[in-house]
Amino acid sequence: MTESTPALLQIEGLKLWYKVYKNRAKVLDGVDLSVAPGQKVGLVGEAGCGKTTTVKSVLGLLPRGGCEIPAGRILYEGEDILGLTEKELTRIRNSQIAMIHQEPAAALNPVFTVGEQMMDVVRYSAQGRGYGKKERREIVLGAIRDVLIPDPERIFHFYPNQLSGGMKQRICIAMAVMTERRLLIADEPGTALDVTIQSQIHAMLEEMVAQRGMALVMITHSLGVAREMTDVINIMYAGTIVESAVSAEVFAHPLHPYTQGLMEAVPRLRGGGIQAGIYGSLPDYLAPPPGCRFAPRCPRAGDRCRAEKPALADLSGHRVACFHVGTDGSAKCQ
Amino acid sequence: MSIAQINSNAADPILQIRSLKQYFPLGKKGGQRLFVKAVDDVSLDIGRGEILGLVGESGSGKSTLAYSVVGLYRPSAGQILFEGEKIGARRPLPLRKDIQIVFQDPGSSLNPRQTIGEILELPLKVHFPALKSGERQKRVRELLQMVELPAAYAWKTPGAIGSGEKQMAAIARALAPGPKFIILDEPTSALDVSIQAKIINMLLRLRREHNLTYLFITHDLSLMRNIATRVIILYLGRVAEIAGTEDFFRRPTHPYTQMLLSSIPVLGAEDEALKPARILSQGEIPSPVNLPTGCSFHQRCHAVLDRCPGDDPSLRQIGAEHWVRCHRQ
Amino acid sequence: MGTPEKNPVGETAPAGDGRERRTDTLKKAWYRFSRNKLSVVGLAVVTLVVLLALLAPVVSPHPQHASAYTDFANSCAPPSAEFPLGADNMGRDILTRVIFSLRGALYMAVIVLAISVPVGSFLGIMAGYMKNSWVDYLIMRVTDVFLSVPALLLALAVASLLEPNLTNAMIAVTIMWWPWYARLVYGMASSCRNEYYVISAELIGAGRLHIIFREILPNCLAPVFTKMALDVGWVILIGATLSYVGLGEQPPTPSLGQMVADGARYMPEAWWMTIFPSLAIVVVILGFNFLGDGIGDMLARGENRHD
Repeated sequence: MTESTPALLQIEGLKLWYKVYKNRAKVLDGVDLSVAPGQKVGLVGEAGCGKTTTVKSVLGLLPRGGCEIPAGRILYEGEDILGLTEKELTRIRNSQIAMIHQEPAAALNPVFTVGEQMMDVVRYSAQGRGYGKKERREIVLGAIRDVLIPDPERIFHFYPNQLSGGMKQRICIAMAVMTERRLLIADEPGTALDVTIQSQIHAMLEEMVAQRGMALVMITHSLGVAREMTDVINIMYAGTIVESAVSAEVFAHPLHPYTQGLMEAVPRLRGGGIQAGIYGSLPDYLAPPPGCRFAPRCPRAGDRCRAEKPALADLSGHRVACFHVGTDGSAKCQ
Repeated sequence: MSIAQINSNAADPILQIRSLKQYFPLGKKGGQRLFVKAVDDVSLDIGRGEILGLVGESGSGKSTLAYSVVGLYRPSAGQILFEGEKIGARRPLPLRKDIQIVFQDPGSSLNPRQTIGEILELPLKVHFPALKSGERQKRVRELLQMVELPAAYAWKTPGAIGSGEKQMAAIARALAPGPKFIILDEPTSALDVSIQAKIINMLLRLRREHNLTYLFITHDLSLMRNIATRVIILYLGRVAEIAGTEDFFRRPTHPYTQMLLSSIPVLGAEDEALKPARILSQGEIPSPVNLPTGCSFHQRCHAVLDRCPGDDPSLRQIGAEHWVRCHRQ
Repeated sequence: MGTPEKNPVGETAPAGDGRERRTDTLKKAWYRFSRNKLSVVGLAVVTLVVLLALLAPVVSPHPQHASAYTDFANSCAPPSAEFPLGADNMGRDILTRVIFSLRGALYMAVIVLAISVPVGSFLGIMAGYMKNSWVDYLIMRVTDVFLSVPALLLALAVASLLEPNLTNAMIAVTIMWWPWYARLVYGMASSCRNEYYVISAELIGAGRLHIIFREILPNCLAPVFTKMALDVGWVILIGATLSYVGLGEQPPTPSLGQMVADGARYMPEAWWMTIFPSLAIVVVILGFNFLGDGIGDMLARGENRHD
């Protein structure tokens, strides 16, 4: 599927280590991720699995001296982002990629009004440079109207603390999509909000992305959210992608033991009790397991899993990194 | 509503809440005293051995209700009875022993400057002053074992363990005095699902082993579907709907309940079929200072009637244990 | 995540028993402290100053010059091999007198902080714990009154009311110093008292003493230690100021402020009489400030480790 359309964003074998006292926290261990133009891609995993680190490395938001990238490439439209200077990176950030953060309160500056901040975003975007103040204002008002906030003229003069959490997140979305961008990275945009507000935000986000033909990378810890929002799901565990396939396929035939454990742990509306979940916790990144990073928690782990890292194998579109999954797509060793 | 109505289910109520009001003064505006009506006239009974799921969004008053029960607030009006006896905010030690609470954020509920052992020893020192140091140490090891933590964790500080493990330690602290009733204030909402599963299963086992009653505060209806005996929906400090779990999910009646259910992201078609058709919520939860007139939900309601803005509905019984605050028949 | 200190090292607990972890903690603390090289410079300066003060009779070139000694033959002698920093109008070695004056300065700093830190912290934690009670209002309003009077003015007023000597100068400085600690600890304690671990202890039924001293106090100490290190420098400065106007240590015992004051009359010809004691003040204060910053870095990071 990825062969047919050239990828907008392609991450290949990305490794990333944080520098800590006399050591390296080996957080990312060969991340592979591909986003086609207009595609909605989910990046699902639990806290600390490296989701945010992955997208921050795409945007070049990681502290330059604080981490090192020993291997891997991040290709944006075929160009390796890792080789770019700060200036070239800024050009891509200003014209190509937008991001929405988990905490809308932290993403908005409390001392400027909503309007002022949004005007600045237009002003420093690649496309906004030519616009005058009046045109910029029109763009901003239109964007606020687009995210279904009534009375944009009034909101324009509000300070962020005068808005509720849901409203703030709407403004963040408006900011992200009001200038032309091709890729939107949403980092748990609804997690900090109540479930009814979260569903409003998600519905709106979906609509915005569809209208503008943007590609979406949706980071979430919730399989349910990923199922509702995305075409392709990547399951991430301890800095590696363990499974990647079309959403429906992942939910119908989860292959990786981690994905299976995760799905069992989610409480279902139909009832049936709470399953055992997954034994243990994330590995210590300072001394990660040498083989499959999930091996210490895996019910099926064998000697090979503990010694050797499984590659992400392609089983007719459904990719999974596990020695126990056969080439026909069936899970062995049950 | 009369007290007798709400009594219907519990033959042996361990905790009874009677017309509880918890208002917080906000100062004056235009000669009128303003209050945050965090809990506004809530009555309910909790039977011994129940897991009562208290569900609501932020601002619904669910945590305030819990804090009133443990005695952090003095109720503005109404009563709380524990095993038939009225309890206030100032409590003798035996009562403190019986009612325990586990907070949402395990990061803040354990003192970062103490070891897990010291944290677990405090309730033992307070409630069992006769215990000698060696016996206390032994009891600490037993408590850690009860929550499936290794004994060596007694020497660790909260900063050195994971957040799931912190929450287990917090549960161990709640168990230390030997309580009958535990309030769980969103104990797993800050944790990953795989850890949540582990903790929930542990809580269910502890309840069996120690005959505990839980008031489980949460925003997660799917979780309640699987563990609660009854579910209460709280909206702006008032009970919107209350029912036995089976009945609650078979016929969710209050429009707010339906909206909550339809907002849950689920994993498969089977669960999807159990949700009401997608109801996109209108607006956001209003401020509990300026409550809307009439039904407090009418501005967001997808099935609003003409009478709703003017006429505040009262709780109405629609099943054996099923009550709903809504005009719609 | 994002910064190296806060990377997602995650759920897993580090292995090893308590003792191993303790040495490890010390090593990490030193790593955090020493990442800023100025902190190390500060530590070196402070160590040197303390050693000089302790060993003054041994290390100074003319120990007898530290008291009422006169040698008019060398009056206002410029820096030379015999008098590395020159001599004053009485012919006494400036270097010797600077080294000896460090004793009084440090002595004053230690005594002032040894009194004002516990007193201020105790009042602050009481007020913070009993926030919005009459205890809070009483303590904090008194604190505010002290803080609203310019500190130096207050010290000058107190010192001039009393007989001018080192003890009274210390009393004066102590009186103006404790409110800062009361304020600092009050802020920490009043936010800390709303943390769930304090609420938990209250709900368990723990006594007030336990809550104040075991639950709240240990969480307020990090900024107190930082401020103490910074304050040694400032107390020395205030002490020098008092002795500059003659309200501190009395002659013939040397003090930095008084040496600066005496030397001013011989400016600019005998510049060494003023410049070198002034430089000593600057170096000592900078040293303690750098050290304080380093301690701050060390403790602050330690606090954040659990996120």
